[in-house]
Amino acid sequence: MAHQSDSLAERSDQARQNPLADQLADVPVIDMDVHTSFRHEAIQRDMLDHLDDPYRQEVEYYLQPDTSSYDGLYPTDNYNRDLNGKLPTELMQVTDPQEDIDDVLSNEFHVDYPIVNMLPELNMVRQTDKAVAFNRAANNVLIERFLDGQENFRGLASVVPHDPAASAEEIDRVAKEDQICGVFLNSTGVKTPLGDQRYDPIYRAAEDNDLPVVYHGAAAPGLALDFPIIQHEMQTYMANHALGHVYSQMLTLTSLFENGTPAKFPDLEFVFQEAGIAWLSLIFRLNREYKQRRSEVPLLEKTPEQYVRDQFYFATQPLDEPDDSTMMKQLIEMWGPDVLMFATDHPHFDIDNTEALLKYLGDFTEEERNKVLYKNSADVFDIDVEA
Amino acid sequence: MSTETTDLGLDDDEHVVARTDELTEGERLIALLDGKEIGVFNIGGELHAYPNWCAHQGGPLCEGMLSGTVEGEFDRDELETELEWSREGEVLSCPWHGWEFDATTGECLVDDGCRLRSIPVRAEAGHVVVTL
Repeated sequence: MAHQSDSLAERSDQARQNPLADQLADVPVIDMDVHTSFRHEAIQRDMLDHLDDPYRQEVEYYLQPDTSSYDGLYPTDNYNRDLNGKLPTELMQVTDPQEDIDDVLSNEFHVDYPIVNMLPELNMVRQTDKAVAFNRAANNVLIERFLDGQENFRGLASVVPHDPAASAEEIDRVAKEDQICGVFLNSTGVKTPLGDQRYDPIYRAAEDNDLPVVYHGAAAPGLALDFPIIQHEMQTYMANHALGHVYSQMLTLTSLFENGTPAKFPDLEFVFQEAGIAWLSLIFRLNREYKQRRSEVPLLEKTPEQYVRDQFYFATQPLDEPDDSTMMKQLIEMWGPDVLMFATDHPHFDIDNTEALLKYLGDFTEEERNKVLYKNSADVFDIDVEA
Repeated sequence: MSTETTDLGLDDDEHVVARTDELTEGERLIALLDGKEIGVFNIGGELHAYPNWCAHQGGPLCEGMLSGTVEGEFDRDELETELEWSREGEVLSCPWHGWEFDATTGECLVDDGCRLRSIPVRAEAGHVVVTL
C-alpha cells in the first residue's frame, strides 16, 4: 500500500527529481504568499484573546463542539471544492510557524523567507464594526502566533475596506511591528472597486508607513458580490476558480488606473497575488484606453504600462500553463524579471514549487533569476536577506 | 499656382493656401498641396500647420475637434481631486481614436514618443503661405 505522508515536510529527498534544485541552495528565496489556516480552531481560540463582546461571544459560540453547523461567523459558498477528497483544497493545516511553515517551505520548496498572511476574507462580513474587530484580532494573531520568535518570517497585515479610516489607523498601528512588511487586501467581495477614492486614506497610510499594498485575488465567497454570474450561473468550481482571481484582479487594477491611484501616491508600491501573469495583457488594453480617453483620467501622467513598470509587482503563482511551455518564457520576458515575484501559495491546492518556476528561468541571467526568486520582494518588502 | 503666388515671388515649394482674412482666429483649413493634405490652423493669432495624418493610426487628425482638455490635481492632505478644463481652443483630438495633441506645438498629450510634424507656415502680404 502506498504510503501517504501526513505532512509535506516528511517527503524524502529521494523524491526530488529536478537537478536545478541544487542552484537554490545558495539563493535566499522569498515566498510572498503563505497562508495560515485562519478558520482552524487553534487560531480561532487565539482570536478570543483579542476580541471584546459581543464578537468574542460569537467566536466562543462557534467553538462549542455542538455548534459545528453554525456558519454565520464567516461567509462561505456551496461549491464542491475538493472533489470528494480527490483534490484537497489545502495540503495541510497551518497553525504552527515552525512545523507547518518553516520546515515545509524550506525542505520542500527551498524557501528561506516566508511572507505570511492570515487570509481572513472578511470583505463579505457586513457588520463594519465586526469586520474591523475581527481583522484587528487576526493581525494580532499573525504577529503573536506566526511572527514572534521567527526571525526570517515577515507578515502582511490585513485591512478591511469597509471603514477606510479604521483601516488607516490599523496600518499606523501594525506598521510599528518590525516584521509587518505590507498591507493585505482581498480583491474580491468589496462593495466598491478598490481604486475608488473612498479608499485613499488606506493608500495614504500605507505610503506614509512605507508599506506596499498587496491584493489577493480569490475564488472566495465574495466573488458573488463582484461577479454574481460566475457564482450563481456557472456550474463548476473549475469555472469559478479559473475566472475568480483573474477577474477580481482585473477589476482592481483597472479601478486603480481609473482613479489615478498610482499617480496620487507615487511612492506607493502595488503587488498582485494569485492570478498568474498571463492576464497582464490587460495593461496593454489599459494603455490603449488611456491614450484614447486621457481627459477622463487626467491625474495619469504616463501610460498604465509605465506606472506598472515603476510601481507594480506581480506574483508568479499560479504559473500559467500554455501547451507550448516555451511561451512561459515569453510571458516572463514580456513583463521582465523586474516586476515578478515568486510565491508558493502554501498550503493551498494550487501551490507552485520553486523548482517549477526555475524550469522556465533557465535562459535568464542569474541576476534576472534572483530578482524573481527574492530580490524584487526583498526591495519592496524591505527584507534584509543574507545572500 | 495663382497670379498672387507669382506676385509674391514664392519658391516652388511655397504655397499660398488662403488670404489671411479667410483664416481668422480659431479657424482652420485643409489644403491639398502636391497631393498631400495639410491642416492649417490659426490659434490665438498664430499659424500652425501639420499633415492631416494622425501619428497614431493615420486618421484625419486635422479634421478633429479643436477644444480643450481636462487637467487634474490631487490634494494629498485633503484627499481631494480637482479637475480643471484648460487649454481651450488649443487641443486637437483625432476623430478616429481621440488621441489629444497640442495644436500649438504638435506635442502628443498621451504618448511622449509621438508628435506631429510641424510644417512651416507664415503670413505674408495678406496671404497664408505653407512651405512643404
